[in-house]
Amino acid sequence: MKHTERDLLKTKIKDLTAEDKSKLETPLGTLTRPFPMWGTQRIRHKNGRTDLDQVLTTIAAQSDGVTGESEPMMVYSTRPYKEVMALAYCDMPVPSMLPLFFDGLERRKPESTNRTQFMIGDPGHGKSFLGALQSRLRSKERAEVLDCGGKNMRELLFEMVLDFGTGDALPTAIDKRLQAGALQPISVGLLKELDKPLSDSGEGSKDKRIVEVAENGDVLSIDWAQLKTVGHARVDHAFSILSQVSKIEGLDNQGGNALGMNSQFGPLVQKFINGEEMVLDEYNKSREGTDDNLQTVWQFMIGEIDTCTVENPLKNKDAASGPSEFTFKREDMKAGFFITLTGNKKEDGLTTRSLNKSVYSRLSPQTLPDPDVMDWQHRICQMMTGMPVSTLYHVFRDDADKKPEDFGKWLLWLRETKAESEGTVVPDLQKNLLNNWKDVVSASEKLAKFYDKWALMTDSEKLMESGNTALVEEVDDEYTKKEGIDFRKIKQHLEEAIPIRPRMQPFDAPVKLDMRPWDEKPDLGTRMPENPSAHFGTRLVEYLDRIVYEKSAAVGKTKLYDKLQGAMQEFGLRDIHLQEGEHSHQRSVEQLLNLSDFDSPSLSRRAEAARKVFCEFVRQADPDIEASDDHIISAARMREVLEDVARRNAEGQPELMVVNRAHESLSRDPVQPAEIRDEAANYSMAEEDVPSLSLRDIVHHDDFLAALAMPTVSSNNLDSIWGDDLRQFLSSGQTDVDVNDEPLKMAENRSETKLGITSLQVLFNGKAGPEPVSLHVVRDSARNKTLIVSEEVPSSLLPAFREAGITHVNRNAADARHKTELALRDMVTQAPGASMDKLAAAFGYRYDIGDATKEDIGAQLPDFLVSKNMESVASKYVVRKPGGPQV
Amino acid sequence: MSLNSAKAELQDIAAAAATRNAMEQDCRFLSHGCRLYTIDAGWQSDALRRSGDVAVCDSMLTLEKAMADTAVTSVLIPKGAMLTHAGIERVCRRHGVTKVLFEEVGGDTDE
Repeated sequence: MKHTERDLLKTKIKDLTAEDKSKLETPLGTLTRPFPMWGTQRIRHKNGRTDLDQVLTTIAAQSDGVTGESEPMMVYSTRPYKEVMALAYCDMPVPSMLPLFFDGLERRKPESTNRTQFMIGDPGHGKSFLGALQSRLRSKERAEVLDCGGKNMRELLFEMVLDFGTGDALPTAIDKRLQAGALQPISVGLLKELDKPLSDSGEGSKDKRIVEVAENGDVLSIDWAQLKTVGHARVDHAFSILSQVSKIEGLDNQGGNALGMNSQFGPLVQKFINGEEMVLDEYNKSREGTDDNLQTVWQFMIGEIDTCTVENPLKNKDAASGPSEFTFKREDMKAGFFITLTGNKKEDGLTTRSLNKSVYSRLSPQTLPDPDVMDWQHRICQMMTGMPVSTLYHVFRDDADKKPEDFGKWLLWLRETKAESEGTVVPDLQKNLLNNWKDVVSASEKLAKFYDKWALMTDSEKLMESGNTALVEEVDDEYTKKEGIDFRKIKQHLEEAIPIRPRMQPFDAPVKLDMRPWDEKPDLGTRMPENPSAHFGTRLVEYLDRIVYEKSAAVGKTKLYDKLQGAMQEFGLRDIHLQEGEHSHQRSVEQLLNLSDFDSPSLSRRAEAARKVFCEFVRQADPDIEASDDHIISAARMREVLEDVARRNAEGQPELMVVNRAHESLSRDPVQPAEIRDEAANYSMAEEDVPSLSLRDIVHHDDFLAALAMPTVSSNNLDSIWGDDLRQFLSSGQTDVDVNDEPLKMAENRSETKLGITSLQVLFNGKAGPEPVSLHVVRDSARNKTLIVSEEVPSSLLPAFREAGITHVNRNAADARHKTELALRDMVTQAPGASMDKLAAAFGYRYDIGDATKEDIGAQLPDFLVSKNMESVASKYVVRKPGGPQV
Repeated sequence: MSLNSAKAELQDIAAAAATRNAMEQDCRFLSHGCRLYTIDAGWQSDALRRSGDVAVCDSMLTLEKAMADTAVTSVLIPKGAMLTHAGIERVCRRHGVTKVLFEEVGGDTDE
């Protein structure tokens, strides 16, 4: 008989030929494609001593160099090789579970007589996920996961079920009427009773409910699949209710709306017959004493006996028909059959029971170790990127460091292959994160260490040994159960951080209320699509900040809050400042995960982004230009330009660059050099030496800002607009200003707070023709955030500004002051107190703001920045370097 | 290119754009690698519905069938479906497969 591939897993093992087995074999962990593995090894220390330790390494087939590779791990699968690889690498279990994964593969070999695996561990560890993953690696079909909580285990063999006939006509008809609101109220009342026996027995927990009811009493959904197999004890009740509903609704007269009860083979027998996988979840939460008659079945499943007959106790009960017995025979075993059992640790609640000694001895449960930092990191990476980048980096570190781009491409290939097999695409956020995999590894390591510490602080049993004795009064068993950190909590946190949501404004931020009638929707202005990865780090850290407070200080656990704050700082979630106030060279989680093409390690990606901004800008600024990007400037030329800018910056000679719009040269030189001409320098010159300045020399407002929207050029320019002319002027004896004061440092961007402020004069076409206008720049270089207040800017630049961390405020807009204040407040949030006042005082070096030492002068800074009438004392003009083309 | 094939191509593009838009936004991680994204009601959900690449599930019964069907990779849960997040989570948990789910939300804001 010729089998199709699909049939092979459903074929009796005894009937599989060598060729069939070979078709099913998919090697995992070969010499050049090793697979990560966690295990115990003897480690030799430098002093010659050896110790046993648990390490993360690889598992690979051995080669003697002559006969080729032998004995890799083997997945017996009907799926294509590349899909199996993508799934195995992307959905890889956490390192501490890898030995169990390996063991599971071994037990699934056709020659294995043990067709079970029993794992015991903490909730959320990924036990049922591992069972289902093994199944998904083998076939596209689902592995049914049966929640054993509160269930009678005898029903695994034979069960009494509701029979709705083919097509589920009765449930479909009831659903339709419910949805249309056409069901009789008495029927709705009866349907709500379906859950009653469950809730009476204390098993009607939210996740096991059959009927979900809204607060207003409406039935939201009925879980028919669960109801069908609700168990022998409740099937009578369900049958009676549905019979009544059927009569009341007149459905009993319609053909096809059959309703009956049947005894049939239970899921375990059905899976055995069909050669399929099954996961018995939370097996040790099943009803006590109900698994007694399963002992011989388990003996068969683990290979102790080769045959086992079980009788159907439901046969002829309540006149039910059905099979009278079933015999498990070794010779009937099919390649695809396997049972994974999972159990929660005994300490997890009252409903978890200790299993019989015979069950332990037969099923030999494997207890999962507590997760460690590497496990947290693995799972964090999987949730952020869809694959365990950290574990793959740890085991392939040498090659990844040597060829980072190739490693990134390989990661992306795996992720895309998995997405393709699932019939979907890789979300942009994940793509961006994988393109910046090094940042993901660094950030996830910090996050993992933080979560590990958080988990220890919230584990009441480990407070003493983890050095958290101070928390004994605040963290009790109840708190641990409710708020203890596990993988599910991390999942919730990342779910909150991934989407772009409206942000809560600071409590003291000014609130404006439109008190005109609200007949129409408000005008939201031009909505700019936001790159989801550009501020992912900020969203995540802000969320963690908030949740840490809400789970500790907000509920009176101040010591826990202090410790968690300390951990957040220690592991660099926010920007890292050393004790001495020195800025650390290490990047914070926030910075590492704020990803955009602006700081992509790939120059090509940055050049492509710069070209897009440049071309859209010149097309918008000059409607005569309709050419495509390729006709305006080639990608290669833009790459050369950025390379040159980056090189000069790296050599410590950053040169201010502005956009060139001259038609004849923009393809060759999209940006051209400019310089700052500071009037502060004029004071120390003889009058005849002061260079002349005409309007033609001054750079246009838009050309200056467009350059700030181009990756690489932007950061180069933000480094190039500062200088010490003001200091030289002030220290020349003409003033009595302390040249070392903080505001002056801020005016030069040399402050330890990393805050800087300066103002430039650029040309703008106002109502009265071209004139110099002020363009104010406030910079937070620690968090790479910039506020620019100036005139209206071309809309094509706005999305790029957002990615560059630049907030631009049009001083003529109605909400200019409001926006400026919000941006300033955000910048000073992390800085020492009174920073706003000092920024205002720094502003006062170039503008007449009255008494700059006045307390609370900072509150006026937004007004200063948006005002058009500030009188400049020493202006800084942005001028094109001589020789460049004029636009 | 015939009018019909041009229309089909446009529909494909719209469905791809709608999928991409949805996958860049909200996401709930469900059991076994399933993910639940939100999709705006209007042209985006219509494009997905018309593409024929998704199973439209408006009740536990239909979701159950879609999860068990190996040919179905994506599921669209329309507005007004008789499904709650707890119910969706429960169905995903008992079917050990990975599928992508889209939940229709909101109104026609981006028309």
